[in-house]
Amino acid sequence: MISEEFGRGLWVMGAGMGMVFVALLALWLAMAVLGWIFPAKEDKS
Amino acid sequence: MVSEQIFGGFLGLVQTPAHLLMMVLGGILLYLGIKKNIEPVLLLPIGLGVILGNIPFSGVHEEGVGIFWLLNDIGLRTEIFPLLIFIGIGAMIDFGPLLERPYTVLLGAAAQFGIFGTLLVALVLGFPLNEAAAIGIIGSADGPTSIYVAALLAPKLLAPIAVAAYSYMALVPIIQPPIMRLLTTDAERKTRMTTRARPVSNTAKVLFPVVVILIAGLIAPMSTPLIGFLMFGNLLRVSGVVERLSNSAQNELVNITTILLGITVGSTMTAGNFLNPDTVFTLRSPVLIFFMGLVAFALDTGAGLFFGKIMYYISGKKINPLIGAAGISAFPMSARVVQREGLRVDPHNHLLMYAVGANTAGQIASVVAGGAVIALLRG
Repeated sequence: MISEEFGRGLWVMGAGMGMVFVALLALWLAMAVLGWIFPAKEDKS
Repeated sequence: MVSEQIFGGFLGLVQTPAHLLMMVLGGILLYLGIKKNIEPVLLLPIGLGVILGNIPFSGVHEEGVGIFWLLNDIGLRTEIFPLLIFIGIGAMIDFGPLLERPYTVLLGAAAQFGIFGTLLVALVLGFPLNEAAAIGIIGSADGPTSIYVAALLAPKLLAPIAVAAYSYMALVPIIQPPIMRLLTTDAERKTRMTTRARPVSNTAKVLFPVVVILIAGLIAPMSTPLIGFLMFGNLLRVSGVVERLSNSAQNELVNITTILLGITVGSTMTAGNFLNPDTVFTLRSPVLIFFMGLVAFALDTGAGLFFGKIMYYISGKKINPLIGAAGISAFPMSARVVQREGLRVDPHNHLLMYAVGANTAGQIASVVAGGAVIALLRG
């Protein structure tokens, strides 16, 4: 019983950390794209 | 009959001394908040809430009419209080340092390991999975996220989880430095970061909150309310056209909600909930939950530092691993701790802006982690 619950816990851990890393990697990519499309120089106008 | 009415409260205390014990605990929280200045903004309302919520026959918990039943129903069960606080937090955060140093975003992700590591420890100690996850979320190092997730997954544990989350956030300057010194060498801590901040346009700053909502919402949809309200607050700040609303979110909204949230969370710490004979003398006692918070914060810090070390070596020793410790969220406390530790070994080594980047990434990552936990256990 405990091992079954622990197995589910391990699954939540793997899937949860996976979701966090995927989300933040996507955010990194999005920040790069934002910086590329809207470079800082536009504010000088 | 008359004497029963007059002395009913005293009789109730005599019959259930556990209420008296809880009032003493409320008094201790008041003492810590007022005399020791430990998170007084929260411990003061929580402490008084504990005392008010444990007065026998006061009717404050009476279903449908009691003031704490109503506040609990309106603010906590519906998740409105933590979400309103998130608008204010979003309005307070400047994501500029993260946008200027996007690579620090990964440190925020790594430092969420404490949530899941603590979940496993809690499982080993005998907590059911839902409760173990709610305890683990103390490691989000973010009060509203902890309350939001605990209210959904383990409402009975809400009070000890909320108190632990806020208490350890106040104790970050005590918890983190020994772990930082243990897991990093002097040479690593002395690393001076010279990478230049990337200039960021105003347009990118304004679009950032919307992009975060879309990414987090699509990958972990259950995090949408939290990340949505956090980033709504940030949009008020960066848009530059609603300064009045941004100021209100940062001040009046946060202050009023904190008062109501604190006193309501405190009121849930009744003798029946907190000193339940089925759990109080077992491994599942509230005292253990409080201790698990320390485990969560320590694991978070360790994981952040470990990932910081990986980046240190991958970057050719150009990234100071200490900034990994700021990925735990606990904004802005942990970034300040990193700055202080950096200056301790080299008085000219200023890590603050790098640490703030990791720190704000940790804020986003902790919300995504909260949404992921809810999705995986309730989805």
